[in-house]
Amino acid sequence: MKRTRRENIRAGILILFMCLFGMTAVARLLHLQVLNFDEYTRIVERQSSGRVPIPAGRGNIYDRYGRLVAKDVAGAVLCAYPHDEKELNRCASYLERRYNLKPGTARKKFGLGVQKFRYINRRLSDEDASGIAVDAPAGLYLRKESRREYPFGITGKQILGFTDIDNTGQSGFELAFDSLLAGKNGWADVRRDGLRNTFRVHESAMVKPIRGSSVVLSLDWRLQGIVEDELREAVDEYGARSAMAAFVDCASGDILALAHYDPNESNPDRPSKCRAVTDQFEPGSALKAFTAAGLLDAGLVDFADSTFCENGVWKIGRRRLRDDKELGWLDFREIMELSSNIGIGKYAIELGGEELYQTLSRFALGKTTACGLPGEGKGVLRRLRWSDFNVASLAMGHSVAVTTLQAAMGMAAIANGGELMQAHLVFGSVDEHGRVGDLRRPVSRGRVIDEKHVDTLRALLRAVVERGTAAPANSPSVAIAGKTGTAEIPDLKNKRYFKNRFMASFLGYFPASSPIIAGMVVLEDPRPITYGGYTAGPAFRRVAERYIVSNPDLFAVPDQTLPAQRSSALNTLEVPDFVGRDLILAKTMADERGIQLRCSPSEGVVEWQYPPPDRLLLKNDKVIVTSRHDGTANKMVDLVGLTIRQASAFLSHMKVSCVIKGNGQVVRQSVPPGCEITTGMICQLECRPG
Amino acid sequence: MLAYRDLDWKLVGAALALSLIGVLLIMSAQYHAGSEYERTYFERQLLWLGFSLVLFTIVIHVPLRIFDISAYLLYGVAIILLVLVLVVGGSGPGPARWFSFGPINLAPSDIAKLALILALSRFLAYTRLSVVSKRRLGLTAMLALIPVMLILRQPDLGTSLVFPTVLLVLWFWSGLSPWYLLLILSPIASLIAASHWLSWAVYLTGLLIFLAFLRPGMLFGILVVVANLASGIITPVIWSRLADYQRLRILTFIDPGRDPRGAGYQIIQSKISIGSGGIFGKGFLNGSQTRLDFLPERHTDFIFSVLGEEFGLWGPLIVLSLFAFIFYRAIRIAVRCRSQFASLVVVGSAGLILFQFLVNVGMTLGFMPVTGLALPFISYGGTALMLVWGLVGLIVSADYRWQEY
Repeated sequence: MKRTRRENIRAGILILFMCLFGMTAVARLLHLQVLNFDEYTRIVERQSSGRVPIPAGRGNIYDRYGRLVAKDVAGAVLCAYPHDEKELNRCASYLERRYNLKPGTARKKFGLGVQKFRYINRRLSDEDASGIAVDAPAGLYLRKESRREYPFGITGKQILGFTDIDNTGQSGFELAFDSLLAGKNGWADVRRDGLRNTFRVHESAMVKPIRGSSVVLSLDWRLQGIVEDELREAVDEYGARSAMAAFVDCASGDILALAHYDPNESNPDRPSKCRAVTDQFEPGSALKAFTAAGLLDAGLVDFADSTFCENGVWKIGRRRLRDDKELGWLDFREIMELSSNIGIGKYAIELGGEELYQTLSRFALGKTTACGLPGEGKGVLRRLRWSDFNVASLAMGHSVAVTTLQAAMGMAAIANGGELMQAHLVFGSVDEHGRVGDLRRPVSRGRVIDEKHVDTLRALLRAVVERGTAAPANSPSVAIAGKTGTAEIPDLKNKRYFKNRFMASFLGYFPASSPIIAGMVVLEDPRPITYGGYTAGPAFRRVAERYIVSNPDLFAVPDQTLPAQRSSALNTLEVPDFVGRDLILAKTMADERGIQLRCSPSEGVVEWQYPPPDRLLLKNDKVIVTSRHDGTANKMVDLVGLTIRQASAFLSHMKVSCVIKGNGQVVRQSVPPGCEITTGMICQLECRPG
Repeated sequence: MLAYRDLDWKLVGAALALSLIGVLLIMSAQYHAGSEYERTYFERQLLWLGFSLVLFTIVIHVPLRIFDISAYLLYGVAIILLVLVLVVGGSGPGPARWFSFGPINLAPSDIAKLALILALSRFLAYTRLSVVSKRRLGLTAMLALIPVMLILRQPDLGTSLVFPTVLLVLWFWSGLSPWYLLLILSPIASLIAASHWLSWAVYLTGLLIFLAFLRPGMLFGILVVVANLASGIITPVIWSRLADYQRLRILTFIDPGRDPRGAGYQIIQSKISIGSGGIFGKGFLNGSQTRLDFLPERHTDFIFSVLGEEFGLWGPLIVLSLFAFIFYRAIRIAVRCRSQFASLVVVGSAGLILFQFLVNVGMTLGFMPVTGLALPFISYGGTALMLVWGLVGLIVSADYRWQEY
């Protein structure tokens, strides 16, 4: 009994001990679950919810013919977030192997650390990414980020500019139209788990990103390519320091090409500016074309009269005006052809300084063209004290500065019959649903020359090329008109002109009879030949020749080409070339021509079409196109209503076997439209004579 | 033939209830897990429960005398296994704690727990030595410390704590005065008091006064004083020799906020889970912390937090009551048993289950350090479940045979 009594006491102690613990535990539970319930619920909410941004894709950029010149692609990005020391070591040694670094250097080079997020490479190529995806250790991750791709490489990069690593515009068009292209990021409320994974819950709030608008430029990438090519050639051939050029559409003021070439430019892939709009220079004699417009308007020019050109040197007060050659008596046409400074100076003095200033103002010199590119130069046009010398020197293009684009716009005005057009770089924008908005229409900025004098001036400019200083620019295949310029380059340091360094230029348009394109080519300091007519002139000619050859239909007289005659006779039309164009633009093109387009999927770039271009098609006939779009499989097109030939051309392109019953037009297809095409698929077509 | 009617079905029922709650909680803990493999944890636990019930049935059919006789043999086998696991055991990068047979991990420390209870009970029941004799205390202490040494080599601090605890409980039950127990435990108090010289001085004075009143004998008294002085002095030495993760555990136990993303993370997340459960809980399979991977080790060490989150206040209260009931029944049985061996086995078993329960719940509720001890009956783990059911079998068997000497 004693044993039992003592054991009871011990049992009591044990049970008491247990009760004490039980009470502590219950107290603790009450403390956590009842008293602090709200607090912990808040913590749960805080640590498991978050808001993540959803990046908006950047808009594409197209040229005037729908060529995709800048696009957004999803690229892989390698980043590191090692959870612990072990993962960190593995990541570091992996990166050392992959990037051939010395052992032990990766940590410092990439700034790796435990639970630290680091970008390793944000411009990962696709092969690298797939390699890394296979063998990367824990702690290294691949992410998708959108980045810019320029299908034409550096062609036109001076205009387009470039984007930085975060895909924001840094120069050129990308910078100027950044807000339009960038779109608006969205966000989403997400749940977060303990491993920092985020995922969306069905009912949580979200704002969709608005994809940036795509922009259609007025530029013609084919001409742009030609111009860049010819500038490179010219710089090489004429030993120039650099070259610039601008080409515009005479009638509408659309900018077609803007380029410069400088062999010493450090990074042509990431140009900081487009020198054809930013750099200004004294145009020299090229400006005489504008002066002549003023003289003609003022009625001062009498082609029967001759002016004495002082045999090359004319003293005005204490200063001297010089010609390149000793010229005697010349009429106005000869003055222009031979580009006599003294001759034009005498005419200008007669016109008066203020009048000359007004003339040049009408060409909008000293004002930007407002084309929209960043850093555009205004040029310089000032009211001076109108001494004879000052007037004469302004008339021959000195004490005035222009940008290449300004001069080209002025020449376009002469070429189109006297209307100075507003320069356009953008046609319009296309939003993510394919809606075209904000279309720019040609706008006149005012007349530069009276209509009745336009033909005279154009004849003069044509004569310059035919017989005058620009003779080397005369082409057997295309009639070019224009004016040469050879101006001394100012030595800004010593406040004088360099003795033998010149800006050689040619400012003109083509074809001379019905001008379509005006432009200017400028070479900086060509050697040993310095004359604009012998350097910039031929470069301009080659651009014109190549462009004419590559765009014959642009220069053909409408309604007189053979296909046009044939189509109107047969009520047929020519199949346009859709391949390489964005589907949205292809649809617009087809609509305009009354062609039905059958396509799949609904966006992307057209990669195949049937019938091929240039075939004749009856109105309301159908063209099948297939397009490539990242990440979507090819889909079956609605074949009903097509001819067997069309349907089977499509199916064989898609590598789908086909079984045809009957003849005529397709009335039923076994694979329904919109169905994803798989390998080895067989499609049965039922046809009936239409 | 065993009369099933006379078994303590209430105790078995409570144990079974806890095991089934465990299976459900494991299912919930892994319900949203990423891998199919993890989602089958509860099925495997169910299978283990089957094995455990078979083991239980075998144990209740075997007369206690057999365990009595084979106690030392089993102890020897357990020690050999513990040595073996250090040499060959374990697969993968973790510490060598298990033998792996395919999907089955056998932890020899679980066998050692059972073996120690039996061996100590046998020694304490039949040795005719005074409860305070040096040989008795020394030899039993040795029995307990050998597996502790081996397990510390693994290293597994949490599990190694179980063995001295069993020793203390059995000493207590075999008649050692609680005052002596306090003296034996006093070096731990010294360890803590030594953090400041003033507190240590006050503590040592108190200890000497206590010794003067108790008069436990010269040698024992000197040993206690020396042990207290030594533990106080070597505190900094031990501190510097602890593994980093152990030091961090102690520090974060005092202040979990000092490393909220590392060592304190588990405790903080466990408290958040339980706290956000409220009174009524979020409902079965609906624990957001569990589901969203915030709660670590949720099918093993922190399964009590899943219970708190999904079932609110009532779940933990029910589980606490079930454990209390089992313990209460076991103590009643221990008191009733005529055989000293059986009585000791029952108290040892109940003490072991209670200690693990206590340490685990204390840890998940954030008032005890993170030791890595699983919750008996409930946490995922095959051999651990079999061990507790083996122990329940011994308790029930001792109850059935209470009249046997």
